[in-house]
Amino acid sequence: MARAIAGKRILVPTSAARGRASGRSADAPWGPTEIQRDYRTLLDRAKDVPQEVLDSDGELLVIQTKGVAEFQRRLQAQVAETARFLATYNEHREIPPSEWAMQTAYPWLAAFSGDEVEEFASELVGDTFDAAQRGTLEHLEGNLRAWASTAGVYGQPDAMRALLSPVDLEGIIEVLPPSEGQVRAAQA
Amino acid sequence: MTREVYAPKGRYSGSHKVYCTVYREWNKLCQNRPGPMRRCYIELADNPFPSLQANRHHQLRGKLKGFWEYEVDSGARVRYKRGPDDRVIVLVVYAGPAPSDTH
Repeated sequence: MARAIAGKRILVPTSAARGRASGRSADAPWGPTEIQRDYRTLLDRAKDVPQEVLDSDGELLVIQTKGVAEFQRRLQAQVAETARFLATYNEHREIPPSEWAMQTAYPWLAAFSGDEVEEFASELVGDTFDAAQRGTLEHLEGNLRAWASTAGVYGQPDAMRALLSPVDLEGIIEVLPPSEGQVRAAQA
Repeated sequence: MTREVYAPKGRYSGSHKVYCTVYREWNKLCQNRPGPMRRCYIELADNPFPSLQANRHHQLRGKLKGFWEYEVDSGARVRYKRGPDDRVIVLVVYAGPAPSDTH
């Protein structure tokens, strides 16, 4: 980290940039003795990049933030779900989705036509790849929720008709939110 | 006929006004769920058409492309679309219960 003081750049080492007390390179696994002496550096570095630890029994371990570990676990589950869907879809793509959707993690696909499921499949693959690259599942999960919600509306013909019917612009009204006072009163 | 109504105390000034075809249903949700509906309104007024899908706020798919949904809470949904002109940007066309569980 560089800090500018009176026009001069002074290098101030952060915990992550600080060298290891043992003098080992940044990529070398940490040993048990080194951890005992320099655990603070290990933990600070693990917040930036996963750190490898070589235990005395020869087992290699990794220390990383819970957020990274959790993302990897969820991504792995999602990749498995996507693969399972694709296998089922490829096997049955000539058959109406209602006959095979229950075999996937997305049974609500039964509400859609073959063309719509083809679009879903394309988005699912793209979104899964995108999630792995961007390090977040938010868009993928949001899109799955959007498809699931759409299926829910398809299941309500009256709601579907109401949504798709033309709007009489003469009848629309500007609406406002509940006031903060109303929110507080409800919380009390 | 279009008419403007006011909140009991102080209105939130978002980037966009929010218009509605289902005024009674909107008000009913506001009475029953004031906190979540205030958050919903703020989201619709400030960020009605997000570029990325999110769990709570997303663009519907299939035949409903062009409609957006905001999940007020587990039991209520608001659905809306882009209005026809520069005056009406956010047009709510549904405010009511969530469909039976599809998630």
